[in-house]
Amino acid sequence: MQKVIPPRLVEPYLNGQRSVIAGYVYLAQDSAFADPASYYRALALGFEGSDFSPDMAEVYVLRWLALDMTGSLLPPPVLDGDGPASTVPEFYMLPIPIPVGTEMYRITSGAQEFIARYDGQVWLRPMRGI
Amino acid sequence: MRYRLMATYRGVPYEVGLGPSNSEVVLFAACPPPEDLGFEPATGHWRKQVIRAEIDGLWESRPVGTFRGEPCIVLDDPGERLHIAYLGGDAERAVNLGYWQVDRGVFELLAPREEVTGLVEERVDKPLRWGEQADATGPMATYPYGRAPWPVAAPPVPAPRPAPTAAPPAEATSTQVGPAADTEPVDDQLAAATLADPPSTDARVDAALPATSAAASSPPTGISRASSPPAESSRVSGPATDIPRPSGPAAGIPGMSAAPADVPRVSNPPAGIQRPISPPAAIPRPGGPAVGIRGASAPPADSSRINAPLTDPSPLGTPSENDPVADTPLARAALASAPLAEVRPTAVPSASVQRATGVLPTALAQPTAPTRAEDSAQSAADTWPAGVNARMEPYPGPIAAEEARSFPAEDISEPLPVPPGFYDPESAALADIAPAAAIRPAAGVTPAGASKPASDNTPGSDVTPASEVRGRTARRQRVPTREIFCELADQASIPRAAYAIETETEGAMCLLPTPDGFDVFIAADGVRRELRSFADEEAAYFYLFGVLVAEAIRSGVLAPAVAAANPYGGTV
Repeated sequence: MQKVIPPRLVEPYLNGQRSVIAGYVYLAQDSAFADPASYYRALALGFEGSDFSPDMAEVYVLRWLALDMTGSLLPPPVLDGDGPASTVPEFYMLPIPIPVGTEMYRITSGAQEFIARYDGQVWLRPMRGI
Repeated sequence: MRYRLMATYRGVPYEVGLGPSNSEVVLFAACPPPEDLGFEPATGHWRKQVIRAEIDGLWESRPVGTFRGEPCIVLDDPGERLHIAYLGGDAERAVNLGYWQVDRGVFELLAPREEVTGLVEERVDKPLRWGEQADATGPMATYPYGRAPWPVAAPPVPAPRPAPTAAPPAEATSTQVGPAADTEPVDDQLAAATLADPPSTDARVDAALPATSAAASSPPTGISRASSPPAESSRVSGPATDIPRPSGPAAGIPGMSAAPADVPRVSNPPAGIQRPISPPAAIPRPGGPAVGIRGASAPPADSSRINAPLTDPSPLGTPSENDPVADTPLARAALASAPLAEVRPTAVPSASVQRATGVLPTALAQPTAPTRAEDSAQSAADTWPAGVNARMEPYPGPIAAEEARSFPAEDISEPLPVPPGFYDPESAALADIAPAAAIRPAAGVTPAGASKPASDNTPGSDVTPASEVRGRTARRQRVPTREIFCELADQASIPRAAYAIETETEGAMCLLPTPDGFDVFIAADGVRRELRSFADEEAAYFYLFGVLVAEAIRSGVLAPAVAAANPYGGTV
């Protein structure tokens, strides 16, 4: 699975303040795009109140192997109908604890950089020697 | 107070994390647990990776309450304020209540503690067996509006993709087919079989009932978890159904496939009719605390299949049929170990157990289908030996280090203490060579399995000449390895339903002859997992034996002394 993290949530994730994944998630294979702008367009990141922008230089994503999510998938809250729509199938998830092994990547145009891996309690970054 | 996952391991609850695969569970402890539990130090905590088979309960601890009249869940408890998330279904309302939209459709807030009222800590049990569908009404436990918008089985996707596409799994790496569609026929079949069969054992009843009653007693409305089956019953049923073979590559099963699998699931029976996935419940795994042990001591009455390994004429048929003596159980028992000592000295049972648990699984890992290079499957495959090793190598310490070293360096020809229940091949070899007088002492030393046949075999032949003994020995070598295996497995109290010989049985560890040799694998949900291929029959059988014994040891079935010594065990 893959989830694009709003920029302002990246730090809370990495410093342990945020320990759940919630909201719209996608199959990784459906949502592997080459550049941030594609993410923006395809995943409807321009929703009202979004801090994503179409010309952002980078976007952070979480990737994890889907666990049994039957307990957390729900119909999404009713949103007003005039927002942008995702072009790929999307799933709405109630908060779940971040699965062990979840990885964070930074996507820039044409490249992706491994940022950290969640060990279940903390994010381990490469420089610390995962 | 915060939202988290919990699990019970050896009677003690821990906070846990799930993943990377669905069968993997990581236990966390803030303080160092007893060393013999094998926790490892990590950043700010202690951790131990186990598999679902090793835990007795898995649940979400969900502190839910009401914030300004609407339901919320407490994500974290950072201090004087609570980090809560909106659980309702109306975005506008959420905003009006003061929530922040931290992400599209995600509304959260740091709320003054006193404003969150009616806080209760819900316990939402999760299935222990990977691949098992969650409680059909699970997600609705906290659904705030009395009646769920639609059954859980309905696609939660606003614009669901066309169902089939075989429920593409999460990452491109997990290419297993969508489980729901594929396994259901099997499950249903099995379920039907289970229900149709007269409840032959308590174990089966215990296992089957909670599933159905759970379905019956939990309407898809926002009724609290109190209405779900009592923890105890789910505990019993959980482990029983728990075929979580150590290997469960999460990849295939529930994982992401579960999410899109929601689409295929639309065609399932209504949400209220939870598939009793318990058929495998009738297959007591050694890992299943309650039922597993019961199974070990009293094989299920439904023994037609279970007895198969012993009663079927062996297709591997060696001259045992020609030898009337060999057909008697006692003779078989006596013969059983002879080849071990004479043909293959390395096959000393205890030695092979250690080697199998410690080394074999990884050493023999082959790039076969279930363990193909994909990360998920690979890591899952690694779990098995790793878990075993975790037991074998206690937390680093001087003694432990020595023990750890001693495993690989072990001289397999060195006589090892024979655990109770094992036949000592060396004594048997002596017995073969020595005159009858020498047999007696040997039999006295060896455990039941050996002494019984020895004494029963020699009532009238106390003076059997050595030459005749040798002649019998020659015949003994022809005893099928299969029978040796079955004999040993019985002596080790391995539930017969845990394995299947020359047949593929769902939920069991199977050994199948192939044109090239023998395959040993776990049949789970129609997929062969942890497949190992052996050219040599004995290697295949003893690999199978090693894995089974390892699991029995792990679950405590074979090591009551260890369990009793566990400070956490208390009243084992």
